[in-house]
Amino acid sequence: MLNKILQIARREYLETVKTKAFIIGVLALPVIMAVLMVIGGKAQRNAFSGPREDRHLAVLNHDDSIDQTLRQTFEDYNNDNPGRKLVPHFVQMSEEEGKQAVRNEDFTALLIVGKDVVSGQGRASLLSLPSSDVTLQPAVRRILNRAVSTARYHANGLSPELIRELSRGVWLEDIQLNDEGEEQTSRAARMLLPMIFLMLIFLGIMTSSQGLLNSIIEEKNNRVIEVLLAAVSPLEMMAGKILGQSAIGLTLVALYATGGAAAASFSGFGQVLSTIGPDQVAVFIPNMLLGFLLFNSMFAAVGSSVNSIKEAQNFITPLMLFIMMPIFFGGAVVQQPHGTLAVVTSLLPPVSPLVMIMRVAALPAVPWPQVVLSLLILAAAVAGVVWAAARIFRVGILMYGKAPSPAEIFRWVRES
Amino acid sequence: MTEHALVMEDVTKSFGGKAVVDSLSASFPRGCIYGFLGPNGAGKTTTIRMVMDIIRPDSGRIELLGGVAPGQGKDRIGYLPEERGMYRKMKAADFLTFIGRLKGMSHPDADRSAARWLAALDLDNRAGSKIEEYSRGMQQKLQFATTVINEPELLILDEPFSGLDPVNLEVVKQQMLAIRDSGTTIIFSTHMMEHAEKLCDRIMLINKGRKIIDGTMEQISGSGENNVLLVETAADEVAVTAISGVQSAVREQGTLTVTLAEDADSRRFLRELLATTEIRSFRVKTPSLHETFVSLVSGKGE
Repeated sequence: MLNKILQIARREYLETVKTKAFIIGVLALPVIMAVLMVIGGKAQRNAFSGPREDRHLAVLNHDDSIDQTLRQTFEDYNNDNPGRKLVPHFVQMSEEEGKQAVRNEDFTALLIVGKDVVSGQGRASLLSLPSSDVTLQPAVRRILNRAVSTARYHANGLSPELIRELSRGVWLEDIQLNDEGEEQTSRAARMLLPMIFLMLIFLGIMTSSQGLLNSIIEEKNNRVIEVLLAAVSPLEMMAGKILGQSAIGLTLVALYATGGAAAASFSGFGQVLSTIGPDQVAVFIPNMLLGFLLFNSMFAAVGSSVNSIKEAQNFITPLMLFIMMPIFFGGAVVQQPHGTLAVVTSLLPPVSPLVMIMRVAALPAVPWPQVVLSLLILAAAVAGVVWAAARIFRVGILMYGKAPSPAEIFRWVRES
Repeated sequence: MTEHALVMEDVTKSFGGKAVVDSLSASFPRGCIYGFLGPNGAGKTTTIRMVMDIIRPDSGRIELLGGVAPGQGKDRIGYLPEERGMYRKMKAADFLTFIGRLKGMSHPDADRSAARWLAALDLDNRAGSKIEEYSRGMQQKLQFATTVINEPELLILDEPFSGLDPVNLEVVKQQMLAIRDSGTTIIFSTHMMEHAEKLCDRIMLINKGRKIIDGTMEQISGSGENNVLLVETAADEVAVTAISGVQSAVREQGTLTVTLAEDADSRRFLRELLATTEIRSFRVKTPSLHETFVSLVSGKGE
C-alpha cells in the first residue's frame, strides 16, 4: 500500500517539477518581488524627495525683522538638501500679482509672511496650484518656523546655537531580553518574521492545493483515473496525489526559505534570522505539514467532484477565504499575540496552523499547552477531513457530467 | 490453483434506490474467454467495477482467484475500464513502466515487461515518444498493453473493442486469444454480439441487473429458437404453408425459410413435404448470438 502511494506521489512530484511552468513559476515570484521592491523603493524615494528639479518659491515678506534669518535658513536648507533645492525669490509685488505668477507657473508656490510673525501676531500662508506634492508645505513650514524661532532667540538676546546644543536629544537603545541574553533586533524586524512565516506557508498551500486541483481535474478529463484504479485503491490514489503535491509545496517553502535567508544575510538583515529558534521551528513544521494535509484533502475532494476549474470555483472560494483570512488579521495577531483573537484563531482549524506560526514567530513564549492543544485539535480535524475527503473522492472521481450540489456531496460522505 | 477465477454470490448494488445489479451470482472458470453481455445500462460496468473494488456492493460476496477479496488482488489482475485514457505528456514506455510499478512490479521487471509488450504490439520504435504524439490506433494498443503489463491471471476488459479500427481490432483479438492460451482467464463485456460469438468460450448475459443466461456457447445457441428450417426445394410457398404446423414460409432464391410452430415436429413436416416434392437439402437454422440475445432480452428479461 505504501509503495503504491509513493509511486503515485513520485510521478506527481516529478511530472510537476519538471514542467517549464513550475520552474518559471518558482523563479518568477522572487524576481517579480525583487523588481517590485526595487521599483517601489525608488518610486517612493522619488515621491518623498519631490521632483529633482529645483522648486522656485516666491517670497512676499512683510516682516523685515525676519528677512535676514529667513534667507539664511533657506540657504542652510538647500545646503542640507542639495538634490532638491527650494529656491526663494524675495519679490516686491502685490499679492494679486504673486498669485498670477503662481498661476502662470513662474513659481511653484507663493509664500506670504505677514507683519509681526516674530512677535507672534502675524500669520503666514503658502499659495500653490493644486498638486500631489506632499513635501512642499512641511519643508516650507520647517524653514519658516526655524527662521522665526532663530529671530525670536536673537530678539531676546539668546544664542540659537546654544539653545540647539542644550535641547539635543538622547538616543534610547532598544534591548530585548531573551533566554540566552540580550538582543538588539529592531521591533520592525520582529514584526516581519511572523509575516514571512505566514507567507511561506501560504505560498506552499496555494501552490500545492492549486496543483492538486488541476492535476485531479486533468486526470478526470483524460479518463486516466479508472486506469489507475485498476492498480491502486481510491484512497491510495488520493494519498499519493496529496503527498506528491505537498512535497512540491515543501520544495517551494524550502527554496524560498533558504533563498530568503541567504538574501537576508547578504543584505544585512541577518539579525532577523538570529531570532528564529529551534522552538519556533518545532512549532512551524508540524503546523505546516498538518496545514498542507488539511487544505489539500479539501481540495482533493473538490477536484474529484467537478469536471472543470470553472465548476471548482464555487467550492474553492470559501476554502481560499480560510487560507487568506490570517493575512487580513495577521497584523492584529502579531501586535497582540496573547489577545483573544490570536488565542482563539490559533486553536480553530482550518486557520489555526497559519495563526499559530504567526503567534510563535511574534513571541516565542506561546504557552506550550496552547501549542499542543492547537496541534491536537488540528490533528483531529485533519483525520475527520481526510476521512470525509476519501469518501467524496471515491465517488467523485467516477462522476462525469454535471457538477454535484453540496447536498449530493454530503450524501456521498454519508452513504459511500 | 482453484477452479474459478471469479465467484460472485448474490451481489447487489443500488444507486439512488434503483437496483443496478440485482442479486447476481456467477462463477467464472479459469482459462477461458468469458463474454459478459448485456444491452447498454444492463449493469455490466457496475458489476465489473465491484469486482475491481472501485465501488462496493451493497450486499453479496465477491471472491477472486480462489479466495482473494476484491481490492487485495489488483496486482494479479488486468483491467481495461470503459472510461479509459493515459497521461498525454508522458512517454509511452515510461507510462507502461509506471503502471507496472503500480501493479507491484520491481523497476527492472516493469521496464522489461513494458519493452516486451511494446514490441508485441509493434510500438517499440516509438517507445520514447510522448503519448500525445501517438495516433489514435497506437494509443488504443498502448492502452491495451497497460492492462497486461503485469502478466495478469485474470484480465477484465470493459468494452475492449469500442473505438477500435478493424486492423487494431484484429490485433487485440489475436492478443486476447494468445493470452487465453497462456492460461489467463479473460472476462470481457460487450454489447456487440458478433465479437462475443467469435471469441468466447462461455457467455453470461445480463439485463436490468439480473442474470438471464450463463453457459458455454453451445448451450446458449441451443437455448434460443431452434424451430426454423432452411429447405432447398422448388416447392411452392403457399403449398408449404398449408402443411400442418407451419407458421410461415419465405422464399429467398432457391431456399425456403420455414418457421414451425413451437410444438410442431420437424420430422413430420419433412415427411409431408417429401411426399409432395423433392428436397435437395435442408438444415436446422442455428440462431446467431445476436438473435438469441434479442429474443432472450425482449422475452425473459422483462
